Parts: sequence; C-alpha cells; structure tokens
Amino acid sequence: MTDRTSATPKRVGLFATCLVNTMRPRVGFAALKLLEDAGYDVAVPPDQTCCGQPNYNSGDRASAGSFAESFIEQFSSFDYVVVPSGSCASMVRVHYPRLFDDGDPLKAEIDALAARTYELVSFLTDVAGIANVGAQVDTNITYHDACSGLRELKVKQQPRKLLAGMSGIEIVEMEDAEVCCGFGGLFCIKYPDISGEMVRKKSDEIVKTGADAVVTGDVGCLLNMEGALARRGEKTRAYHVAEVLAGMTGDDAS
Amino acid sequence: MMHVTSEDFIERSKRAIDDKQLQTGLLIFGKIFPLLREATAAKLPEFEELRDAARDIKIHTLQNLGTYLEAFEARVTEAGGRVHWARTADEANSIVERLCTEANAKNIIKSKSMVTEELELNDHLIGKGFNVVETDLGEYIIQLRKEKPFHIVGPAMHLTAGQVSDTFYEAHKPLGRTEKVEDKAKLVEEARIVLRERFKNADVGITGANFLVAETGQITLITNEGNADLSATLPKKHIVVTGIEKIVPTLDYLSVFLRILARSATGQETSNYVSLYSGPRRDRDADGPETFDIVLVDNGRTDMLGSPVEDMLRCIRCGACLNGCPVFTTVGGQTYGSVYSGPMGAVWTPALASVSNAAKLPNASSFCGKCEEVCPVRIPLPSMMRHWREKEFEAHLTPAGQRWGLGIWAWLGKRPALYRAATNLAGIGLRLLSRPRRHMRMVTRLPFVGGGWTQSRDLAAPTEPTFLSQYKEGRRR
Amino acid sequence: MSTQASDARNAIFAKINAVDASRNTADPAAVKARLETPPPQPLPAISTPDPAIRADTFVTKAIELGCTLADCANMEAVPQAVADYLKSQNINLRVALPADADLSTLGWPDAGITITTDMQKSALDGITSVTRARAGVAETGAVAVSSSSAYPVSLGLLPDRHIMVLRTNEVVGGYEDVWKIARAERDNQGMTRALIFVGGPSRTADIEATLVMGAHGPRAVHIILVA
Repeated sequence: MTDRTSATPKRVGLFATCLVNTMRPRVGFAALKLLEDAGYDVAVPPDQTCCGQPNYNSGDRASAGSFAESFIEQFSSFDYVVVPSGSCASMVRVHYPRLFDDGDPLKAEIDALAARTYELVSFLTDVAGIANVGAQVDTNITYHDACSGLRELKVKQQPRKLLAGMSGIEIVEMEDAEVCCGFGGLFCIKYPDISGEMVRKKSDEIVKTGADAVVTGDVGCLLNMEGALARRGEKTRAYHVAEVLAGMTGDDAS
Repeated sequence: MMHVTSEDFIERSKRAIDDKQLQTGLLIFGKIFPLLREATAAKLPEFEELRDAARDIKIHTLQNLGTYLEAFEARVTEAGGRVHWARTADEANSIVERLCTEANAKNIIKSKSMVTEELELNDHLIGKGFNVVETDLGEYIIQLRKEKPFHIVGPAMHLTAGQVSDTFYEAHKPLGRTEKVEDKAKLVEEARIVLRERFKNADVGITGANFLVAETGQITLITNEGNADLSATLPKKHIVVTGIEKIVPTLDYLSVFLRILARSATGQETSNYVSLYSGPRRDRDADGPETFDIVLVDNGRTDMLGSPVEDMLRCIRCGACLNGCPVFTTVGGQTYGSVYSGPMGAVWTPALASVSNAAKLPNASSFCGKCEEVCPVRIPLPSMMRHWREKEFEAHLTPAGQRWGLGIWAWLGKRPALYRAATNLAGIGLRLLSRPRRHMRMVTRLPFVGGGWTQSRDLAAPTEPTFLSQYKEGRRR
Repeated sequence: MSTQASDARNAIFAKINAVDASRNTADPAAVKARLETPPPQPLPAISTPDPAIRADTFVTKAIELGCTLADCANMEAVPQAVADYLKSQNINLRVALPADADLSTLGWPDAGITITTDMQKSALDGITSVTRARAGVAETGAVAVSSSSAYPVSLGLLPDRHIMVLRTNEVVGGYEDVWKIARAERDNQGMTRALIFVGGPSRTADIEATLVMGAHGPRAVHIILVA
C-alpha cells in the first residue's frame, strides 16, 4: 500500500512531541529525513506544543481537551500528521476522539484528524509502503516495544522489518521485550521505587542480549532505559528507531 | 463499604521490592502463569472468538440485569431454595448471621469467596461467636496467619513451606498434633486430616459462586481441591454469598466462560471440579443440605451499573490481569491494602470503598495495557483507572503540587511562544546540571520531584537547542 | 418476605431499573425468549470430535488429568476389573457401593471384594468407592456425575479412591452434550441438585506452587470404561 504514486506529494505535518523537542532534537531531524526521503512534503507547524497526555492521564480531562483543540488548529490542514512517538500518536489517534462527545461541533473534525495521524515507523511501512530505508549501520541491537505503540497502535513488526532491512545490522531479541520499562509518563516519579525496579529488570534483559544498543520508538522509554544502563555503568547505547533508520547515530551530533 | 488500607501503598511497595522471598513468590505469577496461559490459549484456535463472545454475553446481561436476576430468583425458589437480597455489607452479614442463628449453628466451613472477604463476613461471624474455618488450602493458611491474600488465585503463594510448617505446628497443637512436618505433600496431608474433621462437624457451609445461571437457577463452584463441593454437600445448611453481577443467561453461555476461565487463570484447560448446584437436597437425593440460601449482594455494584466503570462488572476473577501487570508482579497483592489487588483491584476498590480511600491504586499504573490485553472478557482496565483519576482530580484529591504543575502545563500549552521559551529553559537547565560521561552529558541528581527519577537512573541532558528552535533557524537535517 | 427483605430487593431493582430507563437498552421480551430457547454459542472444534475418535480422545485427556483407566468388555466383568485395580495398588479388596442397581447386582463376592453400603460421612475416610457416572466429556477428559439416590455426592469426595464405571456410549463431545442430558433430566423440583465435572484426583498447588494430589477429595480417580 503506497501513496507515493500521486503527482503532487502529500503534505505531512510533523508533530515533534515534547520529549523529542526538548530532550532529543536529533530524532525530529531523523523523522524529517525519513519522511522527505519517502517522498512527502513535510512541514513543522511552529506553534505546536504538547499532545496533553500528562494532563489526560492525571485525570485533568478538561485540559486534555484544550490541548486537542490547539492540535486541531495546528494540524488540520495536513494530509497526514506523523509523530515519532507511539504514546503521543495514540493520544491523538485513539484518545482525542474520546474527548469530544457526539454533539460537539469539533467531533467530526477531530475524528477525521485522528484517523490520519500516525506513529512514524508504522506510517512509513503501512501508508508510505516503504520496505527498505536503504541505509546501513554496523551494530547489533535489541528492540524494546514501547507499550502505547504496541498495544494501542499495534506497532510490532514494522520497526523490526525496517531495521532488519538495514545492511550491517543484527537484531537480537531480548526476553520480555513487550514488558513495560517503567517509564509510564508521570508514573516514574510518582512511584519511583516500583518504576526503578521495573527499569532494573528491563536493563538486565537488555544487557543479557549482549547488544551494543537498545532501540525503541518512544523517547520517554529511551531516556528511562538509557539512564538506568548508564547508572549501572553499562556501555550499552540507546537510540530512537528514527535515528537508526536515518543513519543518525553518530556521537558528534548530540 | 469495604475497608482498605491502600494509602500505605507506597510504603509497603518499598518493603515488597526488598523482600527476596516475596519476589521469588511473584515469579510464579509473573513468569510461569503467563507462559501457561499463553501455551494453553495457543492450543485452542477459538480462544479469541470465545473472549469476544464472553464480553458480548456480559454486556448483554448487564443491560438486562433485572430480568435475568428475576428469572434466576424464580428458578431457585421453585427448586426449594431461598434468595435473599443485600444492599450493603452490613445487610449481607446480618442475613448470613440470622440464617446461622436460626439453625443453631456453631461450626461454619467456607470455601473461597472473594465477596465474603470484601464484606469481612468471617470477622462478623466470629465476632458473634461462630467458629469459621476456610477450607481452600491457601485461604486456610492466611486465615491462620491473619494475613490478606497475596494473589486472588494463590493467596498463600508468598510463603515458604517452612512458614506454612510453622503456622500449622502452632495452630494444630491444640488439636493434638505433635509432629512438625516440613515436606509439602505432608503439609497438604496434615491440612486434609485437620480440615476433614471440620467438614464433617460443620453445621453450615458457606460458598461463593463463580457464575449464576438464570435459565436454571444453578450456581457454579469451580475449584481444584473439591472443598467447595464438600462445603455444599456435607453440612445441613448451604449458604451461597455472591455478587449480583455473576449472572449469565443460560448453560450455553456458561460454556463460553468455562472454556476461558481456567485457561486464563492458571493455564489449565479445565479446573479439577466444575460443579453446578441448584438447591437443597431433593427427594431423589441420597445426601445434601436440607436448606439452600443464596445471598445476592449489591454493595456498590448497582452504582457501577450505568457508570463509566460498568465494564468492570464483567470480571470473572481469573487473575490474569494480576499476572500480566508489571506493577503487581513487582509488589504483590498485600501491598494494595485491599481484598482486590492488581489492575482489577485498582478499579474495583475505588468503586466499593470510595475514591478517597483507594486513591493510590488507580494511580499505581504505567498504563502499559497488558491487563486489558490478557483479560478474558476484554475489560478496558486502563480507561477505568483513568476514570478514577478523573474523579480524584474533580474532587481535588490529586496532590496540590501535581495539580499546580498540570495547570501550568495546560496554561503553557495555549501559549506556544511561552511553551517554547519554557522548554528551551528546561533544556538549558538540564545541561547546566549535567556532567560529561563518555559521549554524553548526564544528570545524576534532579531536585524536587525529579529526585524520583534520579533515585534509580541518570538523565541524558540535551546537548543542543530544542528541535523547534533549530528548525526555525533553518536546520533541516 | 419480611419488610426489610422486600425493601432491599425493591431498592436494588429500583436502581437497576433507573439505569435501564436512562439508556433504553433493556429488552425483557428478548431475554425471556433467550431463556426459553437458549441460542447456541460459538463452539470450539474440540467439543464436537468425530464420533469415531471420541472415546479415544476422552481416554487421552482423562489420563492427562491424572486419571487411570481400564477397559471392560461388559458390566459383569466390572467387579474383576475393580479387583485387579485394587490389587495393583496394594489395597484391600473392600469398596463402598451406593444403592445403584447397575452395580449392586454384580458379582462382587466372586471377585473377592467385600461391599459396604454405609454412606455415613464417618465411614467414608480412607476407603475406595465405586459409582456409576453420567457422562465422559471428550472435550476436557472430565467425568460428569449427577446427584441422585444412586449417587451420593459425598461418595465421590470423601473416599481416598474413587472408581467410576462409565459405558463407552456415555462418552460425549462437550459441555453442550451434558447440558442436554441435564435439561432432559429436569423434573418438577428443577435441575439435579449437584452436577459435577470431575477432572481427576483432587489437587492443590497452594504451597510454593508445588502440585500435590489428594487435597480434600480423592487421591486417585480410576475410570472403568465398559464397552
């Protein structure tokens, strides 16, 4: 399934997400490269902010609704909205429609916008029809399935497919790849002992694979695992899948 | 209203994490049971279809609860049983007490029933002078130890055989047993001998019910030990205490649940004893109780009906959500301070005990969604935990600092220029707090709530300005 | 019903009815139709095995559940089959028998077996019981028993060993076949008091997840399958 055959490239709005924007900007540029290489006309609305997930998951539904309204303003003009994060993408795709009742004037628009909002890697494989990013990397990696992307958006095979197509790569599956790393947004600071134990177990599994790096699709999980491995003195790196696919894993660029 | 001690969740969780024996016990539920469930489910090609059917049956039944309960009551009455209705725990306990007093009962045996623990029925009856003994081996052990259940299916799995040995030795000395046994099979044998006397001397048997069948007025009792069948057969009185949500329309619908319950709970294709009981002893029977009483308990369930947590009434108490939950399998059931633990407890407890008493439980979740993935009746557990968080937020039960932070975040969200400025500052701040570590810059200690993060891990500080600011400057790769 | 009792009942139904009224999804007529003519539900293939392999499937699954089985050419050969089993287990040749015409007319003394018909709970410890069963279920390997004058439920729970005599033509596919039997045997006092699917010896894994047989019920279940 591909829509790259149309004469005019489709317009993609890139929703960077807070953690990419602040903590891992390179992921945003990697996403930009992957989408443009796939033939899309990509724009980054400058007034984008947060998807509202921290408020939504804390029970502050009203604020979540106002974030959704801002999102509509920023992104409704695009053919697709692409998000380098499973949890932010699912916030829009799965949860934004739930924030608006059937009688709400914005309901139809939010439903339609949600339906054309995608997590980055699954967009590339399922919508753009990319089978191979044509890049190369010389490393062995293990993949962590971030929960929202996995369970709400069914992102599982897509990143593995694109990674496996890279020459020079070796993918070693960890045990319990689908078990939560313990990030969970605000969960990790509200329940730090439990979160710490969860990421300790995840780190054990990562190290057991002997992989040079752990790769995942969400920066929150990434920072969590990376920080835990560093605290233990492990040499294992951590990358966002977009960085790997775009060939942006060098140490020089941040 | 159910009594809970959930506010001590965090304190208890710390102890649980450091408790090596508890962690070993948790491996049974966290590692072994999920593998068993997966293996058995994989052998049944129709498993997913049956889960869908089970969910749909329960949705339909809850939409017609009144009609089904009336039909059930009529069938039970026709068969010579009696149906009692209890709005609250107090009412239910009083009814059971009255039934036991009327029969001049002294000795009561019980088979496993979560709802009776919810009602604190045992304490009530013991307080009124009755002897009450749990007959499910795990429940018997924790009854002797005065503990809450570790897990809904394996309440004593956190204990070693040595601890059970100590408990039995102390408790059974007054019964004339002098030898201390250590071997697991011998411990089971000792329990068999001791409890057999209780079975035989009991005046009343109290059971729960896994399901109620409206078509026929039957209750189902599902065990591996057979203790429920003994409780329902030997004493002169059989009292069933059950929640109104346990009802299913007909035997054909019951089959669907029988096919997914054991597979989801323990990975067995069937539990050892799957039994249906319809009333007191009949003319054609050679044995059985003289009276059959069913106490149908509301205790907050009709409040759940028609509410955003109605789907929780589908729960068939299999425990699969506990086994899949990374939080439960880190801290164990006793951390929750409630009869119902794990993801299902995080939704049931605020419903039955009030949101303010149970506030910690729906928050102790990373929303990973594994619970919903494995629930045989497809209950959207994270959505319902979120509902409780919304209720807490509305009631201003969310800690002030968190409310304040969320408010500021929402305020910034509507002011993109300020949002960008704030996130730029945050990046700079983190960079200043960081120190070089190989090719990165790591923050090893964060102030205030950030301390929760750096308690267990470093934080890689950004080493460049924000994505949005760089993009604005013209960077594209 | 007392006033408090009817108050409680009324209050509970009032709440349920209020929810129904608010969303208009209840359909009492449809419910009554369902109860009178229960619609079939999705059936897994294992519940409808090919009749040619049904008995073998039952045997395989019953063994997986921890039962032992023996074949018998006819009912007259049952006492000898019981004697053979008891000798193989080094147990004395004494069994408790219920008031079941199928069994009580058989030649027990010729097989060297002493019978007791004392069904008091105090008499059933440590012994072996022999009963008939209502059906064998190929889907799970369980044996369905139904309470009656010929089947005291305690006879299948208190003894150390429970031997069930089952005819091959009493082996059925799945739960639905047993519901059919149970509904047909309904009388004006309703369904049988107790319908129990026995899946092997009583067991527990409540101590350190170690499986132990003989929790409260029989330590061993032996099935004699009569052609």
